Amino acid sequence: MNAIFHIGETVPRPEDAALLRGEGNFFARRHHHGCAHLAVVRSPLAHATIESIDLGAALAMEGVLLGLVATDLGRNGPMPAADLTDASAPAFQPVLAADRVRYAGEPVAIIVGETPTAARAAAKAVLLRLAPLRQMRSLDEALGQDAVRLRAARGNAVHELHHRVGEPEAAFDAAQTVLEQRFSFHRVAAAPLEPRGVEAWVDPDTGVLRVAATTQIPGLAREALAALLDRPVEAVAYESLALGGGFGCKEAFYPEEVLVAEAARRLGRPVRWSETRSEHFVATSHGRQGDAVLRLALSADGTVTALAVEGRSDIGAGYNFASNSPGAAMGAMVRGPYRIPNFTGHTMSVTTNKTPLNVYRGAGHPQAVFAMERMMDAAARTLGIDRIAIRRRNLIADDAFPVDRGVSYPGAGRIVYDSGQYARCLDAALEAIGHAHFAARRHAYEAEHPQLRLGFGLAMLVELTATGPDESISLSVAASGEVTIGTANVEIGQRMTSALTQVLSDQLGIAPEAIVVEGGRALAGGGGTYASRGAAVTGAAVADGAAKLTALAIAAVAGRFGVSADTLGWGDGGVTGLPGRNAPLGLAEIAQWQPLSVTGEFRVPASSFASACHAAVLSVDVETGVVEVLDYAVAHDCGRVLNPQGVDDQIMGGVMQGIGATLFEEIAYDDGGLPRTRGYMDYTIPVAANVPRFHLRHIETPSPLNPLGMKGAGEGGFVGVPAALVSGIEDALAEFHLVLTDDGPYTPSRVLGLIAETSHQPSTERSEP
Amino acid sequence: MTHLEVAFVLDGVQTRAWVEAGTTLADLLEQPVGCGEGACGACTVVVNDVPVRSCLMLAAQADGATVRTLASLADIEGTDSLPTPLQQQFSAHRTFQCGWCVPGMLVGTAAFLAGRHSATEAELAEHFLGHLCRCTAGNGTIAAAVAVLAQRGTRP
Repeated sequence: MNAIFHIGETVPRPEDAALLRGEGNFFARRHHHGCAHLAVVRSPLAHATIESIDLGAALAMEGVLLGLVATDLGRNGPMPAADLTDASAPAFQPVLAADRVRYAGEPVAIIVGETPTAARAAAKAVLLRLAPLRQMRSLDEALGQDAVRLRAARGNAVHELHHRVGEPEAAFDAAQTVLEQRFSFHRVAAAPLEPRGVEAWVDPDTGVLRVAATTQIPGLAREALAALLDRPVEAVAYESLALGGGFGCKEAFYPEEVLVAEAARRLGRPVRWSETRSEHFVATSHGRQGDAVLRLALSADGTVTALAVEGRSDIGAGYNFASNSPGAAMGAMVRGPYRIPNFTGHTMSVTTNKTPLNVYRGAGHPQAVFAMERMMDAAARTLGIDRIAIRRRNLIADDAFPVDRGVSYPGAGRIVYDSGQYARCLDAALEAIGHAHFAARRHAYEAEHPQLRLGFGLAMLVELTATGPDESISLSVAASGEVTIGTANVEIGQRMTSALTQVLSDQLGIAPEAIVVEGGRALAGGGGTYASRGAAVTGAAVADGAAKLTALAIAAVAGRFGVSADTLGWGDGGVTGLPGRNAPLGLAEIAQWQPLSVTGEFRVPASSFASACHAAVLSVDVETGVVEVLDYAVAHDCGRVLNPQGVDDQIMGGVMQGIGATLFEEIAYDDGGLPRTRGYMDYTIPVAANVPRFHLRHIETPSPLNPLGMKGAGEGGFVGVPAALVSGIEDALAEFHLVLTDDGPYTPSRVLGLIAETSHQPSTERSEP
Repeated sequence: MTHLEVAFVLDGVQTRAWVEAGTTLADLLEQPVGCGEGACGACTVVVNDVPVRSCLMLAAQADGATVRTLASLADIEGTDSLPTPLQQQFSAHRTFQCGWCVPGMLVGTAAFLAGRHSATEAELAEHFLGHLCRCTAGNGTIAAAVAVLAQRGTRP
């Protein structure tokens, strides 16, 4: 018998072999021969009235099968949003723009042809008459007195949340020092290597509409599509077997899913759409953009007595699936690991003429952490206290849990920190990065490299993970004894297959080779892959299924052999205690006469809260402006660690995306409001040369909310990076007295510009009379 | 629509295809296309011993050529063992997560390493600029390539 995978051990990655042979179950490798191909006609303008759409020339072209505009659709939306309150405005997107386009790239029509080339050529022949309207390019324009309202009659502030904890006004009145600062966050994209795609066909025998799509949420997408097509949910099947990366931009339900399904229904044959990269940068959700003003009340010893935050999120031209969650985190999660007993928060989502925003790895936490941590650095500087000491002074103590933060937000519920050891995370990160020796290292480094400056950056964070909804999985045992786990979770590179295999191998005591994971199937009660919940939430459902399966097996053995179930047990992968049997009765044996299938469930009592401390050592070249991250430490607490190396992989991957977002990446729009980012040629993602030396530490504070003690680990790697790097850049360039209040990107030209500005500006003290 | 006949050797097999004019080699060979402009490297194949981005090459241009894809990885590496040394090191160094970019990265890197017994870290870093990975950013790829070269160095 092969070795059991135990929880807490680094185990081999069974998925590697197939991936190395190019045999991953990706969308590109699965298609019907003879399917028709769909191309989307998109708005070239950011904001315009649609005067006419003429499909005539396109429909007359060779190989064209179908063309549709908004009025051809039975139900033109609304596209669903998952994170609204009763007070949110109905800023929903349609499937196809009907009378007005609101972002460059918005779908206005489709053409279906025999080949991709035929469909694309015909799409270019569609005649659009558009009358340009004034564009809302920024938060300030969209909220101005004369703003054009994009989706909602009440204006462009379409979704707002308010928080109030303690007595903030009194705390500000009593404060020794009050600091106020505005921060801004730039627009980026998840930009997974695999673009999106959808294929749909109607099963001729059953009439079921079958959809294969690159989605992280096949369960939720299935419900949404059934509703928009007026079909019972049982008449729609969704499949998303393996994704070439998702990171949140595929945690969405997109117009193309409706359009491909509608075309397949009308044509009675399979229809396929594959996104191009230039399409991706306008058609797939963006992340992050917004701003926030923070006001901090401090006592003389550096204790933060109150915080007020006003956050604005630039969500683009209407709701994507979870457009409001990033902005919401700025209100509900901004206090991070710090006590801050008095708090007021107001956050809003604002519509503009850009591609709709959605969650992206960390879902607003990177911005909240950036603002809070930059504020802590500013407070330390103002009060003349060490950056580390001021954080330590304000950390929530280990014995304070559970900590009710007195706030909540849609999709997350009430924020009650379940467990953590924040001071230990801080100590571990400082040890890992070698902070005690940093001053000496800087001295030696700068002596050796006259144009380089060394900086130390730090960020602490608490992150909402493992949220609901509840999750179910199925376990079924084949006659061979092989156990299949069925789940709506999707393999997106996080190695869900490994993780769930490890949980089941541990719980049943069976070999991993005897376990098959079938992910990406839409099941009742299964949502999908998001919010760092796979291992913790779905893993707990697998553990529940394992307990039910052993109970079922024991009952079956008791019945068949006429013994009391109380005398039987479970061990070494089978039922033990049967008189006259030394070896346990394995699942293969029992499955010969007893069907073994169960549903495992986990009812999520509340979200759990992971924590971390990030620390970076970086160099800045003051002649070229190049920032290089040399060392990066993360001390991470995601509760009980399922697979140490697996968690490390997630953290390092997240850190690399954070490095990209902070140093290189930006979704840029020109002054006319049109997108300039059309491919990887103008969207620089990090490569091997940008990888720092990593120093990772695991702190394990089990979650009391989860039978396995686990919390989420998929996103925290990103969350602290912008704050830690910008803190480090500011530290490296201390001689220039910069106060950096935006999260980048700190490209070489940008850094040189910052240095030049300060160098050429006479200091205010000297210039004033 | 104009169609063309293309004849080439694909992974050791003489192959004929009728393609629509304008079809890229990537589409003909069903390679993953991450960008369509030669930036990401996911569709890399070897044409007449030269690694190319198959999204930038017309299928018609492959007429008469010898084309090798991931199926020929052992051949490109000059090895009989499967998994190949590069596949083994990519896995050992956990260079990938979702695995979508892996075929092109393996083929391109095998072609880069072909015939070499050494490469500097800077040369390898430059090579991996042309192979994008959003999950890991290529973390571990340089070490994996160094390990492959080290194994060659110890061979008699």
